[in-house]
Amino acid sequence: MIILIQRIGSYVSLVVILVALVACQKSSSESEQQQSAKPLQKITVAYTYQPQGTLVHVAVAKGYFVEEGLDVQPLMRTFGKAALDTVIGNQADFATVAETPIMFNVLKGEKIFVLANIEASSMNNGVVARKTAGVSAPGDLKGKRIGFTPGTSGDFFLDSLLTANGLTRNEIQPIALNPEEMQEAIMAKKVDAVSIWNYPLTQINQQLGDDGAIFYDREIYTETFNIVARQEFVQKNPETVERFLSALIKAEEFVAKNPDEAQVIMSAATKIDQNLIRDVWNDFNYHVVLDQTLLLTLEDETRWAMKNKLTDQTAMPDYLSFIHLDSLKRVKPEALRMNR
Amino acid sequence: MRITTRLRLTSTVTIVALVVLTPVLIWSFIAFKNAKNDYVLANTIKVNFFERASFRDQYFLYREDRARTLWEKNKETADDLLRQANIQFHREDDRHILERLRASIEDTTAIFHRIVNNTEVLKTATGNRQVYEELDKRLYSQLLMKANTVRDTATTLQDTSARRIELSYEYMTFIVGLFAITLALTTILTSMQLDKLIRKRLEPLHDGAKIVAGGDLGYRIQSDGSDEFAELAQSFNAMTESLHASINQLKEEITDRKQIENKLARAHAELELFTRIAAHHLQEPARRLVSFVQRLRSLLPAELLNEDATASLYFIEQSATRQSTLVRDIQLYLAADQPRSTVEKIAVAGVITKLLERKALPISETGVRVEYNDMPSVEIDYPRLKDIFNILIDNALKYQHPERMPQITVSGELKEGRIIFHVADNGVGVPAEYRERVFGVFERLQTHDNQNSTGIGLAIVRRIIESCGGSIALQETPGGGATVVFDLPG
Repeated sequence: MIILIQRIGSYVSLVVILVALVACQKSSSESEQQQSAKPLQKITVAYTYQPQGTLVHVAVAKGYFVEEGLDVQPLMRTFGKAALDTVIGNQADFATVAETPIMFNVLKGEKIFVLANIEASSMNNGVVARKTAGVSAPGDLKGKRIGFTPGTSGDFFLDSLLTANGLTRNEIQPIALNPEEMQEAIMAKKVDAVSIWNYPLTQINQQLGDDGAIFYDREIYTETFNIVARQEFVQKNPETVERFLSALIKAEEFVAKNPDEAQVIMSAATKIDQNLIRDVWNDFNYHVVLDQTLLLTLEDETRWAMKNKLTDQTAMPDYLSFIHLDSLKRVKPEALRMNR
Repeated sequence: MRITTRLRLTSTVTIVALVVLTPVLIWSFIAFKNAKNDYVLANTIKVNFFERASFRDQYFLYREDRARTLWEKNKETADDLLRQANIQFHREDDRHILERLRASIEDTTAIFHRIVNNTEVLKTATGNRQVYEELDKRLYSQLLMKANTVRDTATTLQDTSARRIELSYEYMTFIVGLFAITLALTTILTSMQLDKLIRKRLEPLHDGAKIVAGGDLGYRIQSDGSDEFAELAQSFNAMTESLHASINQLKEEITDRKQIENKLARAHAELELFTRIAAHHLQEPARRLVSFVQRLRSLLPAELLNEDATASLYFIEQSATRQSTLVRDIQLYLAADQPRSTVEKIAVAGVITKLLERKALPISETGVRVEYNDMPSVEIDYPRLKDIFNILIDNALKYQHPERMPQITVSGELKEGRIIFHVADNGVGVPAEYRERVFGVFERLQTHDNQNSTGIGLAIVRRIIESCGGSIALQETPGGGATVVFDLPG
């Protein structure tokens, strides 16, 4: 009798498992069909040819955005501040940008959200100088003409480097330049040095050859590159934001596992020599996170901006209200390293 | 397939499963232990970070050397822990995390040292003091960022270790479960197989045995196959067949024996009847001879009764009397195996007392001392019980030793439902070689022959006792004499 009950129990269990498996398979295939049948959502992403945009380039090249149902319309810019301006101007939905332009825009009262930090580096920014201008050490920058792009990370890094060497901005001749003007300006000796980021930083140094002197300070500044969108867009399109972040996370995993292939993708996308890309590759952390580095840097730069009268604001903004945690928390909870 | 082969096969499968699963189980235990050790180390690294963070904050508050020294020592501990981790962690992912951790800690170290140096500069800075104060803040801010990275990386290492503990625990649970399921399945399958086998093979055997036990010796159990059950069925069938043949033979023998017994019983009855009739008829002439000798002695004149005639008459009379006694004893012998009255419980002492009263004269003449105690009762008819003790006491009185004060002792005791009697005298005794023969009919010892003895007495006693399921033997009395030992139902 017991054996009979056991046999019946076994048969019933087997049937239940089979039915469940068939149901799961059916449900899964239906879900895939619905996903594939759904039209792609068009979004505009403003990003740069800089190494900080690697994850976006890889996500586009590997089709991760398409996998997430997004049809990315690229809006290429030469630097992050310009990319952020397209978002502010409602020309793009997402932008990749360093924290300095974010800070200035928040101080201006722009309603934006930082969605994720996609890169961090203490070696991306530097000052490249001409030795023939008498600059062979950071202390030699005193009294020199130094080109920089106001409101960018290059602006803040220059200030940090001067501070680290006992100098103030008043002790140099700051020359405001767009990033694309820097190379020409230094080669034409219109400036003695420029504060810039990669790839132009390394390219200018290479072009200067023996005349070039490059100054980093990995202990004085950590640059972050971030995904930013308008608050209104984020609130209206939470699913789009999550899918966008999911694609970037796939790119993050790919880059970690396939750095060589990622470098090839970057070279193809930016038309930059692959050797240059490889040379600076390890100076960057390609990750999708939200941690306190961004918060601390934003506050540091805000204090700097206020002290140097670069803004009319005198009170520290609550940057937490400009950092959108929910989307990343839903997509990759372990990537959230603040207010966990 | 033979059952032993099936069982051996099942055992082999079980052992193979155990041999395969045991190393996997051991491996999973080791993996779990390693994961636990990794987690403990990761946790220690994280605790070390928080201690260092505390010393960092202490230093920033008052810039005391004590706090800086503790920070440096803590950093040395961190280095030791990382070295240990490099030995302990082998997975590629873990080693990447460790490398990130090491790099982050080195970043914090460089920045901390720079802060310490800047602090020294600040002690003497005058004109551009504000710049160094700003630098101090910037460096501290960077230190906080890098410290956060250290903390997050240490947390990642700890989380990874914790996940591995969970995974190894799940794996271990799975293996243990698989282990248990394998054992359970093997047991269930073996039980099911045996159950099926028993149903199929043992039940016909059981049913067949019941049929045979019910008396149908012609029934044969089916013995298909080549396993032990088939062999058992064949053996059982062979045994049944043999039993059947034996019983048939036994029946025939019983029938023959019954026929022989019937014939024997008839012959015995006829012989007994003949003997009784013959004895009766032999008794009558003997009595007449005595009677007529006595009449002749009284009728003959005295001148005719000379010494020779008187002796002749005496011998005729003695011979007739002896013949009569002999016939009487033969009658007693023939009747000894059957009760002559109701079988009942009889007190032996009472029987002996009456016998001694009848034998008072010879007892007093010879001065015999007779001793007997209150013995247990026996279940027998009174006449034969009396015959037993009458014959045995008579014999004891007859064969007295000339140099001993005659003594007869009768005793009895209950033993396992029987009364064991000892009738002992201190008379002449019986040599060992004659102690069996004296129980035969007409057997008398030449050494102390007695003309009054018929030689049937002890034979009568033995016949009575053996008909009651007992036995009799003659032993030597300690100190001389004969002791008759026998038993009767109690």
